[in-house]
Parts: sequence; C-alpha cells; structure tokens
Amino acid sequence: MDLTDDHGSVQEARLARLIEPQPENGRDRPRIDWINEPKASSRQEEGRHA
Amino acid sequence: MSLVVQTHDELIAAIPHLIGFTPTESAVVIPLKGNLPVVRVDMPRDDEEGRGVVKEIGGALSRYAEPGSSVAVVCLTGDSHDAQLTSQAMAAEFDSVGVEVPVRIWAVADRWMEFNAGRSGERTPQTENKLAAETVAMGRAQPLQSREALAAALEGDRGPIQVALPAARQAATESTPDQECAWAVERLGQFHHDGNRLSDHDGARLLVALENTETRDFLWHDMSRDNAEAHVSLWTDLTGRAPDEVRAPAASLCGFASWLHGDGARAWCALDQVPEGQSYSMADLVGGALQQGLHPSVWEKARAAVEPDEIDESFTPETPTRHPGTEIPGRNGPPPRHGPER
Repeated sequence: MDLTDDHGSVQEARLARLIEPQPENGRDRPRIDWINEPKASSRQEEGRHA
Repeated sequence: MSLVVQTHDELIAAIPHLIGFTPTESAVVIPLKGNLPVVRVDMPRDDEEGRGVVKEIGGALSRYAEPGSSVAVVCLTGDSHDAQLTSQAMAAEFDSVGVEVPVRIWAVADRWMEFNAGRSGERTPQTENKLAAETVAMGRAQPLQSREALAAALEGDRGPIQVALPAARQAATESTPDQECAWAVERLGQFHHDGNRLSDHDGARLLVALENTETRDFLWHDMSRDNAEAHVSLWTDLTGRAPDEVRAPAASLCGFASWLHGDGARAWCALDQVPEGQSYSMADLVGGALQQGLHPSVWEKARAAVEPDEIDESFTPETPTRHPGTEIPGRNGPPPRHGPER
C-alpha cells in the first residue's frame, strides 16, 4: 500500500511525504511502540545503566 | 529530571515508568547512550515475525543512531530460550547499524539473567518501590497495570454524546461549514485556555464539525510538540465519548497527538478506536508513521515548510496557538465531506 497516493488534504499529504511506502501486508505486522521523550514536559527520564 | 539506574534490577523496574504501563511478553529496547527512543514490541510468535520486527526496529534506530549509541534489550517473557534468541537477533541487527547492545536481559517476575556476562539476580519489591517513589517525586503519573488498561482509558461512556448528536447535526445544517470551522477553532482555543472537559453539547458539535476535513485539518494544524499534551488530553476524552459514527476523526487526532507527544503506545490504542470496517485515511497515515518509528521532530520541520499551493487567504480563522508567520492548512483539497472518509 502506497500511503503517499491521493491524499485529500494538505495535512494528510504533508504526513504522507514523511512515510516510506509500505508493503501490502504492512498492516499485519506486529505493532511497535516507540516512546520518544516529549519536547517539553515532566517526562525526561533516561534509562542509564552503570 | 533524570531517572538514573545503577543495577539490572533497577533497569527492569524503570521500564513501566519509561513506557507508561507494565509490559508482559514483550521485548523492550532501552537507550543507554545516545538520543534514541525506548521501544516495546510483543515477543515474536515465530522466526519470520522475529526477523521482520528486528529488521524494522534496526532500520528506525539507524536513522537516529550517533557514534557511540548503545541500548539494553530486556525480554520480559516466561521463555528463556525465546529471550536468548530475540535479544541475540536484536544485538546482531542493531550492531550492524551502529548501535551497540552491551546488556541483554531475560526477566520474569522475581528474577533476571544477563546473557552477555552470564550474571543473574533477584527482582525485588524494594527496587520497584524506590523507582516508583523517585517518579512520584518528579511529579509523574504512575504507570498503568497493562497495555490493555491504556486502551481501556480510550473507551468511555458514549451514551450522552449519542443522545446529543441529532441536535448537533440539525444545528450544523442550519449553519455553514465555515461558521462551524470558526467555532471549532475557537472552542479548541478555549480548551487550551481552561483545560475543562467539553460538555456533551460542545463535544457533539465538535465531533460533527470534524467530519469536514478542512475543519479537522485546522485543528490538526494547531498541534505542535509544545502543545501535544493538551491535544492528547482533549482527543483522548472525546475519543472515549464519541459514538461509532463520529469517532474516526477524533481517534485519528488522538493518535497523531500521542505520537507527537512521544507516546507511541497510546497512539496505537487511539487508532484501534477507529470503528472496525471504517477506513479513514488519516488513521492509516498515522499508523504508517508509528510503524516506521518516525521521530516526532520530523513533523515540526514538515509543518514549518510552507508550500505555495497550500496558502489561501480566503479563510483564515484564528488558530488557537498560532504564532505570527506560521502557515495554515490550504483549502485546495476536495469539498467538505459529511461522514467518515472511505
């Protein structure tokens, strides 16, 4: 599935340009949770291991 | 504020505080050095799935790895063999993209084993309590019990807005799309100001207004990494209260805001609230961003890039947190749609 095709809004087209085309079965893949540090909040931990 | 851990036990105990819930049967990647994300994925069900997941995570990490980047891999599973294989595969793949894995841990409820050094030890309630106390002192919300609990937070009482919807639809027919868009932008601004939960009347009106793609885009465009937390709050609430027929736009906005805030797990849970059988293109796009591990910072750059054909001076409601000089979404898309996109 090419997510960059035929987007009906500027915002969707803008997001689509950031995403690489996905294979047809892309939606069946296991979901990966990516947790990034927020830009400005209390959530500023880091996992550091000595 | 930083959460500094000294031992393997503390590293494992920190995981729920890093991802917002207590994971089970999961592999978790924790950055040790370098500006990398925390990653959680279900333990692979078979070799093929495992190869795909490892490749996918490695690909995304390679985009953000810096010289010297390193991570720990912690497998929380009852099967030590699976933990050994999965952490080994991750170490090989991550190493190939410049990310070292000096720590590979298998953990169950009461003990852990580190494969690289062959060390093992006990997990203790004292360590968990210590980490919890530190995060309380930081003013952080405590982690939920499970990923399922995170999903449940997006399922509220949908009855009251269901009751309010007919009147909201009737009122929308007596208004114009531009008037409803202006109201929605103003209502968002009020939420930014007071943070108060929307009434059923306003919730229903806003959810109906979002069926117009241009209106949705105005509210979407308001999102930035600075105000993402407020958007997460608003759209989490409305996703939980929205009946099936009007939920897809709110759930998609919640998914996007959660991603922008850095919370990929909540973002997935939000997208799961798009009713089954409804195809909504914004939800598909947000899912693509989540799957590929896009860093939220890329949106800031995309948002700042104004394209000439995106500017239309004919309609510019005051965007709630807009700053002078920033652009607004264009109006050169298709006519407003009345109903979830197919």
